[in-house]
Amino acid sequence: MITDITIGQFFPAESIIHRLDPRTKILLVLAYVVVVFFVKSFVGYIILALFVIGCCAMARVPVKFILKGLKPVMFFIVITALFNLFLTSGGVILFHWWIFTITDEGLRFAVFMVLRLLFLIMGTSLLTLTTSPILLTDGMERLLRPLGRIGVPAHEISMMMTIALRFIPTLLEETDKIIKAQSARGADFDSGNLIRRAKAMVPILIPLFISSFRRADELATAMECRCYRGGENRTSLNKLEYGRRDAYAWLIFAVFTAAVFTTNFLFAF
Amino acid sequence: MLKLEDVSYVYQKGSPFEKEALKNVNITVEDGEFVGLIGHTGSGKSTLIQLFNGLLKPSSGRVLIDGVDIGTLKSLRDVRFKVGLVMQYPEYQLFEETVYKDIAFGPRNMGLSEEETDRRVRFAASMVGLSEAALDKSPFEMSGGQKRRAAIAGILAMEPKILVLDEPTAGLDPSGRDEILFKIKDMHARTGATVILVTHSMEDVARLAERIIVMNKGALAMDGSVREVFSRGAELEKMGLAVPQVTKITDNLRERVPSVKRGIFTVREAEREIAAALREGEVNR
Repeated sequence: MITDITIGQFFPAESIIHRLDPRTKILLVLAYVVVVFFVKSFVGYIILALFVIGCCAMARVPVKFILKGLKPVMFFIVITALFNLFLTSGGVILFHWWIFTITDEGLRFAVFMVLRLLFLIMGTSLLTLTTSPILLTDGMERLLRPLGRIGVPAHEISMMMTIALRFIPTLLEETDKIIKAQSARGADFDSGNLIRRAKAMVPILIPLFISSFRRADELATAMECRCYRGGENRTSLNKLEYGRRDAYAWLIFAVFTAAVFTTNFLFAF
Repeated sequence: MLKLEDVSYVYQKGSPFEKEALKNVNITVEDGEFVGLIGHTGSGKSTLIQLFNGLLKPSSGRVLIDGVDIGTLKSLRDVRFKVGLVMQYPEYQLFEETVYKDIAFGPRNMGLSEEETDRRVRFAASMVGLSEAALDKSPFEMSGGQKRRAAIAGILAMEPKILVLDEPTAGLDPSGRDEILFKIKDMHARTGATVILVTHSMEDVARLAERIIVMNKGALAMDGSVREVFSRGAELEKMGLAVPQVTKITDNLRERVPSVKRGIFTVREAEREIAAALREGEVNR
């Protein structure tokens, strides 16, 4: 079912990762994304895998749940893998047929690209899985606040992002409902050529569009009714505070980063 | 004939959010019946009706339509045309430029000829009380009640043998509600189609249905005639349901005037009984 998509969903649990300060988690994820792109050797990927799996284990989020989140992006991962596999030149030719050539360099690239994307998604989805949307915005707002001086609307940006995150499951549910309603009228989404299939999406997209606008309008009214008026002088009920565990998190991450860079120097493959 | 054999349904099986929505449900609905399906919110009604036309596949058990297990079918489209399902708030599924085109969506998917589609669209529109002029309007500029009618007509136009409606009158004003319900009853009488009506209104069930199915916590709690089910008021109340208000009133009245009949479900019956009780009171006085 379409509602099985887990990206952007919060998984409530009691874990040390859940209790980390959202600012720490946001910054760590950003740093993590950068580090993932620096991994260049096989040993580096092993360290990366251990790190991600370790984090997931500490977060007490079932592996199945994280893997389910990978399903919708599988298509892109496969395409990327194929492109890298066939279009990389250089190295020893392992396989050649007609216009298809696979080199050891291409194979290496393809495998690394797949691993890179997988770990990227697993790592980043851990942020939304372990941080409630409210904390996520709080953290984002605090991090962006210094930029307010140069005219960045920190509060508005974080509010927009929370609303977007908050509505992903809602819209998925809505899509599921509309698909069902149109299937009940005999709509056929899985047969015919590309153009027919694209046309078959119209009965889903139009109602979805309309209901999104309606929802946005209703939400705006509801916010106004509660006198929402942006970030100026707004205080929060739960103040964010860094704890000792945040320091540990950074320490562990620093060790991980150091390990990754060291392997880059030590291992060529 | 619609038949459910030992049907269970589990949502998000294998995840921490796993939830058993239906447990070993057995139901047989004969052709031409008018069945009211009632149950507290979350009792599994909406899940149940989505099994009828294969939108959901049972986790275990079988769903048979005219003796055919729909789980074994390659394509469920024919089942969808046979079992017309009007989902909750169906107006949100409208998408075409005109009401006519929207109602024609189902018949066109069936691959019917233009003439047949035209006949069905006009017939379905008249069934729900939409005027010819409304057919050329955009569904998005109509009122909520009109939209609802158009959406229901979209299912009726497929002329399903079994029509399932999930709270078709939720959120409508009283006159619109009554009109739609009586159009449905009228259609039932005219075409002989099976109707399964999900509702929270005991009054509606009492005056429309012949048989009531009560769901409670994912299990079949009661299944019988209107009289049988509504004579078990105490049990219904335990499930967060109730008997029609007039039944309550006449039951209370019976404590003072023993001659008042048991099992009164409609206002008309109650009217007769109360009038009789009053007359009797006059004589005794």
